[in-house]
Amino acid sequence: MSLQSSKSSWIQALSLPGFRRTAVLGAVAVGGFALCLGHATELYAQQQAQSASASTSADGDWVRSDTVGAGFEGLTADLEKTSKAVLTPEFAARLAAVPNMPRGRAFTENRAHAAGESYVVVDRPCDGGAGGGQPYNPDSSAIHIVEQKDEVLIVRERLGPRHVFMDGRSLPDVSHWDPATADAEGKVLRLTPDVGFSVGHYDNGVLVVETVGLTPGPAPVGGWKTKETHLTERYEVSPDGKHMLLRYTWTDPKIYVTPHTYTYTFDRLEPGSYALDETCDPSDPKEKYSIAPPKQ
Amino acid sequence: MRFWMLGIVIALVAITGSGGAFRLSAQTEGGQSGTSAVAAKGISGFWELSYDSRKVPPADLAPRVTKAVIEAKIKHDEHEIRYCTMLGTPFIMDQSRPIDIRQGTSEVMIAAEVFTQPRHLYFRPAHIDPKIYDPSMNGDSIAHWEGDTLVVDTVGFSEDNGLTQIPGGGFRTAQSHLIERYRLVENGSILSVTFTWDDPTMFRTPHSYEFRYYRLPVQYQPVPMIPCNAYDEARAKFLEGPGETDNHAISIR
Repeated sequence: MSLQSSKSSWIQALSLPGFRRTAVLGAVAVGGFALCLGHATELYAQQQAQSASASTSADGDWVRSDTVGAGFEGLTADLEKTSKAVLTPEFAARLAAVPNMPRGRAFTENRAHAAGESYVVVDRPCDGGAGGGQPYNPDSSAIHIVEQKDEVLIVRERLGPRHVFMDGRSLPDVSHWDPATADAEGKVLRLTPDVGFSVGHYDNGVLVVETVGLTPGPAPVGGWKTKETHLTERYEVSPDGKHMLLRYTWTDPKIYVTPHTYTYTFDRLEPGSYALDETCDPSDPKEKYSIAPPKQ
Repeated sequence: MRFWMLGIVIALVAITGSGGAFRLSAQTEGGQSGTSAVAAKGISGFWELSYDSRKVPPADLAPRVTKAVIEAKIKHDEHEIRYCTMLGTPFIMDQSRPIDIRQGTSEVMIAAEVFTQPRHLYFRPAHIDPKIYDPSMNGDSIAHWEGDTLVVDTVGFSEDNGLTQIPGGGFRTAQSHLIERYRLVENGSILSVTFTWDDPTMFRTPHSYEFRYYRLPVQYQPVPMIPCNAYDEARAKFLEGPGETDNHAISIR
């Protein structure tokens, strides 16, 4: 259509009979309205999708809220009643034959103390360099989870970030895996943070993490792990997004009669929460003692 | 063409176009409106500094930063290394291991296999109230996108914990204010980060430098960090024995 004929078409449109003019103007109005509605709907839908997926996903900040204890002696009584690991007779016998480590002054200092006098509660404070505990086994400090399509990062407020690969890669063959640094005679010199190697996927919206390659040693609630032991975690967020059940399953036929399972519960931290610093200076004598006034 | 038919065609095109707008395709990983989809998608990954990655001019130190002040700060940093305390920022951004950057819904997290906690860059409009925020070695970081650039604003640093030395000179203090700008260059293969430290107690003029991190292949997997044992006597003897050590803390001598 040439410019001249287009112009004459406009002129003609203005002189169209009323019905046709109304129909044309109505069609243009409907089209314009549909454009605006579609754009607004896309924005709204994206916001809804973001808020819906954000509230029921594990992405965010969580603090452990169950009362079954953090793995220290005597505090896991509840879990031990319901979820204690059932070891194979052969493995249980091997464990029983391993002598216990001698206890340090923290466990043996039983002399009388004056009022306000500190007890030594830890001989070697900050041992493990504030990376103590096991990254896969949250204690009372928060965990922070960022879900990105290729990797989920799960971090504590200390060392040992956990990289959960979501890109379809497989768990490695751990037959040549070295979870700790050893000297030429095989004596373990330095333990790296116990994170193993993790891959993940979503099962109906639930984040599922699978890990192998952990450092040999105790696992919670009477369990044990070697580098071949397979840990599966399910991060099940409640429909309102405020709580999360973290379900652990340890599988290793040489250790467990049946898969060893237990759960921890978490509450989502309030908006505006933030990760805290964990600092520990072993040269500070106060780190050893039970009574240390806070910095004023 | 009759005009009324043209009107119908216009209406049909508009409706079809708006139908496409109803799709729920996620534009960004973090869901931040106004974010460039390419930039938001591209910043996540493993990034590494190489020998040609740093462009650092000398800092313009304030007159109060005397040799004695510098020596005291160096001694502090050497203590942190000797006793295996967490090291914080700026160390995590300037060390030999790759950094892992992941953008989520409410934050960008930066983690590395080194002796420090990860950084949390929160998508928030304001810092935590300083009356309740405990100063930390990574500070309180808030982030937002300006087009293709992630801008990160950090205050609330602790001057007592971690490695405080800043590349080019100077040390982080409780008054430090750090602005970082993260931008992809070279078609997304390189991450340029510009750091600007503003602290009148340390610098006469704000101190800026740029690092360029190389993107690592997707199949990269991180190697667990080298542990630090403050009770290792051989290590203590090495660090505290005669002679100077060429470690991070005294590189500005």
